[in-house]
Amino acid sequence: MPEVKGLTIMVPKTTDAKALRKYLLGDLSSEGQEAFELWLMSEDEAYDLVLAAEDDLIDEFLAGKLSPTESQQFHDRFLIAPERQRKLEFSRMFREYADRKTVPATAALPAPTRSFWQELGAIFRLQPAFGAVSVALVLLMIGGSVWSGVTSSRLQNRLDSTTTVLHEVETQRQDLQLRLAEIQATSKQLASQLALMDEAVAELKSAGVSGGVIALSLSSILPRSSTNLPTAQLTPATRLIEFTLPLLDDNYPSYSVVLADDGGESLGNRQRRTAKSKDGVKVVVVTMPSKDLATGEYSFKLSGITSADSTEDIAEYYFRIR
Amino acid sequence: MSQMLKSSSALGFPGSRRYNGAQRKAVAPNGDLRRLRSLSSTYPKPDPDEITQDQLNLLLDWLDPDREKAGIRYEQIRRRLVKIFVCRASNVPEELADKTINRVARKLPEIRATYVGDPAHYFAGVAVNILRETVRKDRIPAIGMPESSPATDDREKDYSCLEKCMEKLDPGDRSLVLDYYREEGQAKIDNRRQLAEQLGIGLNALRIRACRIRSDLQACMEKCRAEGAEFAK
Repeated sequence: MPEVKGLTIMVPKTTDAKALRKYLLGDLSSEGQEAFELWLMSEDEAYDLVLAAEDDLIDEFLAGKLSPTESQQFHDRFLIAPERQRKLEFSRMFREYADRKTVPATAALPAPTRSFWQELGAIFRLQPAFGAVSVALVLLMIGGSVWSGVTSSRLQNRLDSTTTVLHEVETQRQDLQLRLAEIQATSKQLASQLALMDEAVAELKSAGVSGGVIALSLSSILPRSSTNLPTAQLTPATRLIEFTLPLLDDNYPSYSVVLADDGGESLGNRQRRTAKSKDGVKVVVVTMPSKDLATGEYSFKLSGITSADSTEDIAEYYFRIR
Repeated sequence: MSQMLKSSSALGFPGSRRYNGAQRKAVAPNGDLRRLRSLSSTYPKPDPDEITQDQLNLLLDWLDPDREKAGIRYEQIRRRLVKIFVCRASNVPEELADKTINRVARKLPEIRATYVGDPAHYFAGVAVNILRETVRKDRIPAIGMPESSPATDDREKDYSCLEKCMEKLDPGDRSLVLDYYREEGQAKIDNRRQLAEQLGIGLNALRIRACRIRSDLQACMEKCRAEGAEFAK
């Protein structure tokens, strides 16, 4: 707070528009004026605010908003300064210009509301830097979206491709499972048949009915047309026929035997038969129920099963049933 | 050695166009006053108030030890003093502002040691004293209202000047000054509040900004008018 030889000068910290207006119209008390002038001398923005208040007062005068007393003060005091007269002259012209450039407001209408786009436009016009930054940001966002879209599309394509492969693999897996199930079913069926036959053999053996089984040794050397084909003479007591198929060499871990009629049509088969030694000769033994064999000519087709599970034809054995 | 300045204006440089339209005879400034003089239009006239170069130096030192800053401060104080005298309805505000400054400069050796506070306040106090001394002496009768517009031709030229000056404005300033003076009554108040919000500034800052743009426009238009039709082309 300033002091001159013990005199303390009070400086108002703020001033308001009303006080400014009164000061400009010379309507403040002497003390009020002096306090106001101290504020004007010391505050940074005070001078600019006084200039702005002068503009406002002139505008109010031109708009006819001043009271009669104020108008008188405006004439008698405010307009003494030539600079203010020039301001008034300019303001009149500027007001006319502004009225031409903007849509006049209707007093009865509520405060103007601007749309989002108008607000945005106003911000861009008033703050070009902000506008430039905003445009840059929007461009960046568009670029980012495009890049994101392209990347997303690529990823989607890859995902689609992977999904297709997975689908194919799944289909293959299902096919294999189906085939495995079929093989397992066949295997069970065969195992069941074998078990039944084994039971029958055991039953017969236990019953001591040796006549119920006929043993027939076959030869692969004899052709179908041979008159000396091995022949099984079935009797009503005959239940089973045990066929012995001699091997020239035992070169396979197991063998398969397919029974066919004289027309070559398959009637049944036996899988995974292993060779046995019989009287010093390697043979494959196959037992068939006699009821499955009617009178006629038949053949066994013998194949070797390799360790790689492939089959190789070895020989054919022809025989007759009577 | 002190050099006596023969000038009626404070420190020999601040005087400018008189309000009665008369112009002062220019006196060449000396030393570091030359730069300060360029900051204001100078039309010195003889004045019984005289200060020396030493008094001037002392005053500038008091305002700020840095001579550059002191010069700026000097101009601020003078501009505000002129405004005070204008507001007090003086018809010679610049002359009184210079007189105030001269008086402070002469008084400074006495008060400098004891004065506490902003020097600008001291100027304000002296200005009030000068006002009291000159009350009624320099007042002129109220002027007639400049009701009538200029002649149509001049008016068209002025309008053309104004349009040119508006075009010269930065687009943001042009938009602001038009938006600022839109509407009337409450709508105007709401409009200005909205504008201030958009710009992220206070209402006072907005008023000052609009006022400066308007002031620049006025200066541009007056220059255009002075230069005549050539400018408007």
